[in-house]
Amino acid sequence: MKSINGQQLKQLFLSGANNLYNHYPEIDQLNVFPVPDGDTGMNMNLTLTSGAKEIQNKNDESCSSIASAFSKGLLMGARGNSGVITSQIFRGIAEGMKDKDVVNVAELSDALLKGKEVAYKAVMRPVEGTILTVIRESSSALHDQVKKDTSIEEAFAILLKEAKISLQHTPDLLPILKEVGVVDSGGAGLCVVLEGMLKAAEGQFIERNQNAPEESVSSVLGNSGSSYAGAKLSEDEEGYGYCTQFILRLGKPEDGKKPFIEKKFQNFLATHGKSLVLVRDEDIVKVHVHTLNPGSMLNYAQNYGEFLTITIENMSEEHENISHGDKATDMAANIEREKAAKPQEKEEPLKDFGLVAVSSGSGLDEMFKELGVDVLVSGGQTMNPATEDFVKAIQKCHAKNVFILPNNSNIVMAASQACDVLENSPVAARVIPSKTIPQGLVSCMQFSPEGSANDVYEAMKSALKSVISGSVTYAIKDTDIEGVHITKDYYMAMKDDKGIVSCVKDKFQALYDLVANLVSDSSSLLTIIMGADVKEEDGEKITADLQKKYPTLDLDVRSGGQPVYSFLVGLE
Amino acid sequence: MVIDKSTPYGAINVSMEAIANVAGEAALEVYGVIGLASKNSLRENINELLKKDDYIKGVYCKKVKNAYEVDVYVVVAYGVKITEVISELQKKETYVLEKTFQIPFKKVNVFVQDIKEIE
Repeated sequence: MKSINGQQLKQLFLSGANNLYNHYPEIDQLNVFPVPDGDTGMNMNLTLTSGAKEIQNKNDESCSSIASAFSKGLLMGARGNSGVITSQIFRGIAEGMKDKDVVNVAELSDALLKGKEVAYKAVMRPVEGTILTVIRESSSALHDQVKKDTSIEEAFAILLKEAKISLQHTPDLLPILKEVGVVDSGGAGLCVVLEGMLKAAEGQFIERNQNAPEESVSSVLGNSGSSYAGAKLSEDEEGYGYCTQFILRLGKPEDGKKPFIEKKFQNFLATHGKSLVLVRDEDIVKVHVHTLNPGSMLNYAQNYGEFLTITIENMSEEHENISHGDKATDMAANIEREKAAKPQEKEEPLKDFGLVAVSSGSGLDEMFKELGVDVLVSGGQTMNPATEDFVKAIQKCHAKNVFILPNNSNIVMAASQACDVLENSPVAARVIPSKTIPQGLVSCMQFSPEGSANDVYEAMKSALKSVISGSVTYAIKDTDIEGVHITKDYYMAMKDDKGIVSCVKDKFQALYDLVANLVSDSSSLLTIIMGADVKEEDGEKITADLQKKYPTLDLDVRSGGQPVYSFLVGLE
Repeated sequence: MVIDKSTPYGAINVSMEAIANVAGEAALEVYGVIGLASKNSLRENINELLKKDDYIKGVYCKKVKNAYEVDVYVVVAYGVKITEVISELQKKETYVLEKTFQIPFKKVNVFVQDIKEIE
């Protein structure tokens, strides 16, 4: 094909729009910029659908009129940032095709360049690493590579290839993409549209896939081994997914139902899910299965009869709750978790009290969970969680009164701000100003979900005073503080966040110094939480040593797995 | 109007100019926004885009109860869907301002002062 007329151009546009429709959910998953609201795919899809509607019934033979009708449709239906930009790209293309009935390769390439120009004009300060970059690089690459005898198909193949290369580079231009490990969502959408156009040019017109799109977009995006959130997520969720249970009453062929062959039915479910349990009693079949796609399973089952009951539960959500602490910095996971959490929130009634605690390390996470903390926020001395994290955590608690334990003096501020943000919401959030992990733990122990919010708050807050805490950590540089000489990589024993007790080479010695400094006549219980760098066996040694020294003290030595701090010490 | 905040280490004051600059820079990154315009451009009949030093003339910030509101006066490109550009602008402003100042911005009021053909 050396040139295209209006009707062929129409097919190209429609195929591009259809291809995007088939793939938009995956593009949604890429969305992180500038506001992580996850709707780029949807927005672009609506935009292009509106353009497609405009030309659907047009029988013009001229490229010019088809292109301008399409561009008008896009403009009117533009949604979101990438939708607006897409509409401008096609507006430029339409301008480039003005007064042309038939478009050859050179003209097509010029039209695309024009599309890029117009798209760039409407913004003063273009952000690179977005859909703009993709259209700029691909259109100019096409312009350089196009020759007299290049066919339309080849031109689109070049364009798509260059667009994909450009797309793979978007994370290098936009740091936030790299951070999250995705490519730009708008750019990805454009690639999908171009792919649909290429397919149509090659004679394989893409039809709208009526069923919910399921196949992965990785054939379009992920070929150079770059991982993006969508793919990662489905891998993570392997083995979790939805716990789907249903009871099916088998139908008769007269009702349009297929004859039920147990073996075949079982095989289908087993290949699409895990942990399959299938029980049949005459015309009733009960099924329990874990699957990522409950919808397709239900559709299949309905071929054989009608449902009596259906229960579908998201197991990833349960799993997320457990592994929350480890992943708080993973933005994409956060977004997904948030999405997954929403439907659940509506169902359950509000609890009276909820607890949010900041912790780091698996052992500590577990301790807080045991003490009844609902939601954990990952953070500590070196990584302070943002106000935003607290707001989400508070909402996730799903309670009328939420108490926050920041467990670090640096984090108290962020937690208080989160409470301010939620001032006008039905949730009453309050900060219990715990400055250390031991304080937080002791405060949690005082938590009993009875009585008025004020009483509970006061009880928890007063518990803070009953604890003296200290910690052992390593020094990062040589210095002198408060008369103690600090040597790099030595271990410092610190009392209550400030006040360095000693600095010695051996961390156990530092711990003993610290305990000696903290212990007084009134103390009765000594809690020591060992960090990630301390072995389990060492715990026994510490217990034995200290018990010998302080026979009157009750000792509780546990493994917390926290980073940075070798030991956290609490004394009551 | 300035933003006052107090922390255990002392007070933080953010001037109007600072907010205007941040809001102005953010606005220019929004697709379809040509630039900021003066609030009084209609009355004074000045159809100029504001330069960096004058962003203060096109951005107003006020405190309502505990939250802040900003008014942004902009010029938009001809031939783009203005409703979308504005809603993107509002999203971007809230995001950028809240991220920069860690203060909740409740409203972003956008005033389109002019629409310009871009050539």
